[in-house]
Amino acid sequence: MASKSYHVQLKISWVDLPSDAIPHSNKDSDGDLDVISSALTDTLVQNMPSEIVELDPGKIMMASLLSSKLVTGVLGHLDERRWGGKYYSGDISASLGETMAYALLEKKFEVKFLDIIPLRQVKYLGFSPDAVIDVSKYPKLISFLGGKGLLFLNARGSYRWSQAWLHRNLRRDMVQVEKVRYPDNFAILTYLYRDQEWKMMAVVIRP
Amino acid sequence: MENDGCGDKTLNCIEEIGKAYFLSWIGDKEFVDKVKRECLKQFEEPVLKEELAKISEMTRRDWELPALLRDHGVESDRLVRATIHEFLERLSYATEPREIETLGKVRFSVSNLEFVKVVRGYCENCVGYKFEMDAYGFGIRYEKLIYIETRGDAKEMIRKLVESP
Repeated sequence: MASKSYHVQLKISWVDLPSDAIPHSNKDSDGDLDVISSALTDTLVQNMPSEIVELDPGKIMMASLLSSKLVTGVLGHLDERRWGGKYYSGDISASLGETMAYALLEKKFEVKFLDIIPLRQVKYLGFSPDAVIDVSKYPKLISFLGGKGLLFLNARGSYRWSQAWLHRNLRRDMVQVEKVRYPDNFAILTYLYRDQEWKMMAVVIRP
Repeated sequence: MENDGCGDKTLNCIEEIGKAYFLSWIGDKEFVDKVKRECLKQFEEPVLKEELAKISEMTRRDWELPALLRDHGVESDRLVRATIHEFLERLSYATEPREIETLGKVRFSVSNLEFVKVVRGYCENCVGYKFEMDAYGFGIRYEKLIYIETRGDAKEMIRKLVESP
């Protein structure tokens, strides 16, 4: 269990996506989203890692309170010495994806878990993000994003790394998050996966 | 969020809803229902569903939808309000009441599982982060939130977590 010296390492690859680059109007064409997803995927793979963070297991535990599924023992699932013969259930991968995204927001931008409303639970509405954060409360977030407004989070997780998985979901998630973000708010799309280590691809959409 | 004429109240409600989420975790259904009674109304978007259905029919290309929504008056704020409305309703019916105990400023509930007691608590005036471990288990306090797994005395661990360093 959690001792004070043990931390969970997360390698992150960041990429920027300006709102203008995303197709929105009938002047754009059907293939544009695929082209952008491919370009983003390539850049993310090249940039890995652009940042390495050490996450406190106690904080990861508290971050997991915000995940949408009733999955306990998140730290056990993050342990590389877990029972390797079994597959991860999709619910666990998804919960790890959400939990690590919240833990990262806390570590890097000091976004308090208590300030986050985890809207993933109502994603069935069809236009809900996973979470919404008021940027103006966090100086580090203001300077990272370069402005104020709402930040929408979309977080995914998968145990197995696959370029096709990332490409497919980037396309899907851009459409999903644009419904609430467009045109002048912010979004971060995160993709947690395991590739010998814990890694996360992260796309930042700015107006 | 955009000023909708009841600015302060909306802001307060957003904070209260965030708090309700964690008090639901502890099992304080009374608090969750109180927030629902006081706040639900200001997040209502009664005609949004019909508008969304109508606008969705205007295009078959999913990526054209975000701009079409804005062109027809469906702004980010309205969508966020509708999701918070749904979230609060769901939170209220999904929360089951539990026995809540009090120790100083801490409200908490104890789940007595077979091998360990799990304690979930909320400490109104706590700030910062604290991790404690002893021979019987461990406890975490993150700002106002408390989580403990112990085979020992739950209140003893709560005291350790809330006292100043």
